[in-house]
Amino acid sequence: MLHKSAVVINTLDSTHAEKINSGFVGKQLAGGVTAINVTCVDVIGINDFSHGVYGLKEFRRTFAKVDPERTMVVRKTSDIPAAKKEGKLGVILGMQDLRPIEDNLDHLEVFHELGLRIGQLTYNRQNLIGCGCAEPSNGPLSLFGRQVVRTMNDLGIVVDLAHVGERTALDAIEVSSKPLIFSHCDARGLRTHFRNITDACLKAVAAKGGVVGVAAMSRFLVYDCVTRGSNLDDWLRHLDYMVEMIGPDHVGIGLDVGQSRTEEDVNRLNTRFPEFLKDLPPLSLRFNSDLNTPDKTPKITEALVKRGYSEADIRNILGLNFLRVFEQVWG
Amino acid sequence: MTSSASKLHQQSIVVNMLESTHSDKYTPQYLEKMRAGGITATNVTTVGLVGVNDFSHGVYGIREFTRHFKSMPDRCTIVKKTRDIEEAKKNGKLAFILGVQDLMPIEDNLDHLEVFYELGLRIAQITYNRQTLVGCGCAEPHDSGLSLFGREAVKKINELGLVLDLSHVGERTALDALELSTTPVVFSHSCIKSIKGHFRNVSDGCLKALKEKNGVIGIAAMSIFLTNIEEANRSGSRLEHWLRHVDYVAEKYGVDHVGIGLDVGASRTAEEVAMLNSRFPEFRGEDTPLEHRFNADLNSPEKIPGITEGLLARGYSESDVQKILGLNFMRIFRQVWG
Repeated sequence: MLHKSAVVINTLDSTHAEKINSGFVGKQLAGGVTAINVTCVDVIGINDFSHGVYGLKEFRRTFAKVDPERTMVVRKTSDIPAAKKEGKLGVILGMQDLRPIEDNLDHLEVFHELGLRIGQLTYNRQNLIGCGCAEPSNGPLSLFGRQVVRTMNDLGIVVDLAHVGERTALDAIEVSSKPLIFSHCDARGLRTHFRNITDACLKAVAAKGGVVGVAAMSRFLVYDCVTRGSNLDDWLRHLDYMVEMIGPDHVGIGLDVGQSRTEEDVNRLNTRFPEFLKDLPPLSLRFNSDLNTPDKTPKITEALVKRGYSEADIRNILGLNFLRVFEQVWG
Repeated sequence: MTSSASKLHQQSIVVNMLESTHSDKYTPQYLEKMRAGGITATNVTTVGLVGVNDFSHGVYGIREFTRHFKSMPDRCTIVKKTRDIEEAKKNGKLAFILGVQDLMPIEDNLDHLEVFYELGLRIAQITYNRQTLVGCGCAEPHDSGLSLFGREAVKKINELGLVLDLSHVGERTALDALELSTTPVVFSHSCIKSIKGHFRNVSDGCLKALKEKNGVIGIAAMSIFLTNIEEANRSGSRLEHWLRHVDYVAEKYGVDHVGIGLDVGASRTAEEVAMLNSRFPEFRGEDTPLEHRFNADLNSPEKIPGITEGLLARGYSESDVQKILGLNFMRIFRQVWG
C-alpha cells in the first residue's frame, strides 16, 4: 500500500519524555511513521544551557532505554531511509526555543554535537534572537538572531519558524542561505490565530525551498473548536489551502500532537503562556480526533488519494519534501 | 647529541602526558618548537584550576582548546582514538589529547562526564589537590578515599573509555581507584615519594598497585618534585634528577610502567604562579624562583630529545627507550580507547 512504502515524517510530536514507552514506538510504527521531530527541552521549564544539554541527553536515553531495537536517533539524512528499511522509528532531536544557547553561538555547536538537528528560533515570546508570535510588538530578528541563523546554516541545523513572530520569521527567511521550515502550523488565511502563518510567510518560505508541516490542534484549525474540536476534513482544508498557494512541494505533516497529555500539563502550559487561554477546547477535543494518535496517520494517505492527489505528490507531502530540506541542510 | 639518539628520537612516538600551557600560548612558533622536539602527542588541561569549576566552564574549556587546535588543521589534530596519534606521527602533525585535572566540572552529575566525552575529553584526573564530591586530593591532611559518587565516577570513566588519571589524588583515594578500576590507570605527571618526600609525589604503595593494574606513571619535570628544597631553590633541577626518578620505576617496577609527563607550562609568568599559589597555598612553602621552577633540561619542547640521549647513555635498550618515550602510554590508550 502507498502509505506503507512511503517515507512518512511528522515534524512535531510533542509527547513528553516521561510519557514515551514501547507502546508509543509501536503506535508510530503501526501508523507507518518513519521519523518524528521531538522537543527535547520543556518550554515551561528552565531554559538555560545545562537544561538544553540535559534535554538532549534525556531524550536519547529515553528512547535507548524503552525501545533500543526499534528506534534510532537521526544524525544525517540517510538515517531516515535507513530507519525505514530497518523497521525503526527515526527520532530527530529538536528544540522549540533556542533560549538554551543563551547568548553563546558555541552552545549551538555543542548541541549539534549532542544531536540537535532542528531548532525553532523562538517560542511565543521575545528572546535574544527575535520575537515570538504572541508579542504585540512583532519585532525583527535581532543582531544575535542573524548570527544564529547563519551558524545554524553552517552547522547543519534546520531553522524552524513555528511559533516565531511574522517579522522575525520573514527576516530569518531572508538571512538564511538554506531552506527553512514551519514545523507545525496552520493557515491564518483560513483561521485567524497568532499561531497560524500568514500568506506572506507561506510564500516566502516556499520561495526559499522550505516546507510547512500542517498541524492538528483543533484551536488552530477551526473557529468552533471549543464545541466540536476538529476532524480530518478540517486538517485537509488547511493542507489544500497551502498546496494551492505554494504547491505540493512545500507542504508536509507536522501534527503537534502529544500523547498522554493531561489537564495538568495543559494548565501548566497555559499558566506560563496565558495567551493560549482563549478558545480553549476541553482536553478531549484539543487534538484533531482523526489524527490524535500516531497509528491513525494512514488516514492522511487514504484521504489524499480520494482527493485526487497524484502518488508523487502524496509521497512528497508524506515525507519527501521534508527529506529534501534535511538533505540540503544536514547533507 | 649523538646521531643515533637523534634518529631514534625522531622515529619514536613521543607522548608527553601533561603539558600545562594555556591554550593561547600554543602559538605557531611554540608548535614549531614542539615539532622540532619530536613530540607526537600531548595531554592538555582544558579547564583552568583557579577559575570557576562548574559545568559551563568545563564545556567552555574543552571547546576553547578544541577551537584553538581546529584553527590550525595543518599542524594539529585532536585525538579521539589511539590511531589518531599514529596518523599524526605519520603526517608530521601534533596530536593533542583533551584532559582535565579535576572532575569538579561534572558537578554531581555523571551525565556531564558523558557530555565531556562526546565533546572530546579523553583523560580524566579525578581530583586536584583538595577534597571534592569524588574524593580527596593529595594536599588534604585527612583522606577518606573515594566517596560513593567517586566510585560511580570511576565506573563511568571505565565505561566511557576515558583514561583514569591519579596525579594530584590523595593516597587513600588513589588506592581505592586503583582497586576499583577495570582498565589500566595512569599518574600523568608525578614524581617518586621515596626519592623526594612531597605531597604531590607517589608512594611505593601506589606504584605497586599501579604496576599490578598495568598502569604507567609519567615523570614530571618540576624541580620541587624532583629534588630537595635547598637545591631546587638554589639551582633548580637537571636531566640527571629527572632520569633518577625514571630509573627508580624502571628498576623497581619495570620499564613498562614509566613515561614522560613533564607538567611544564610554556611562558609561565610570576603572576600565574602567584595566582595558583594563592588558590592553593599548600604550594607556597617552596618559593622556588621562576627560573628554577621547571627542570632546566626539560623546560622547553625542543630540549626533549635530550631524554632519548640521556636514557641511551644510561644503558637503556632502544626498545626500552621507545617504551618510556611513548609506547607505554600508547599501550594504555589502546586498552582504554581502542
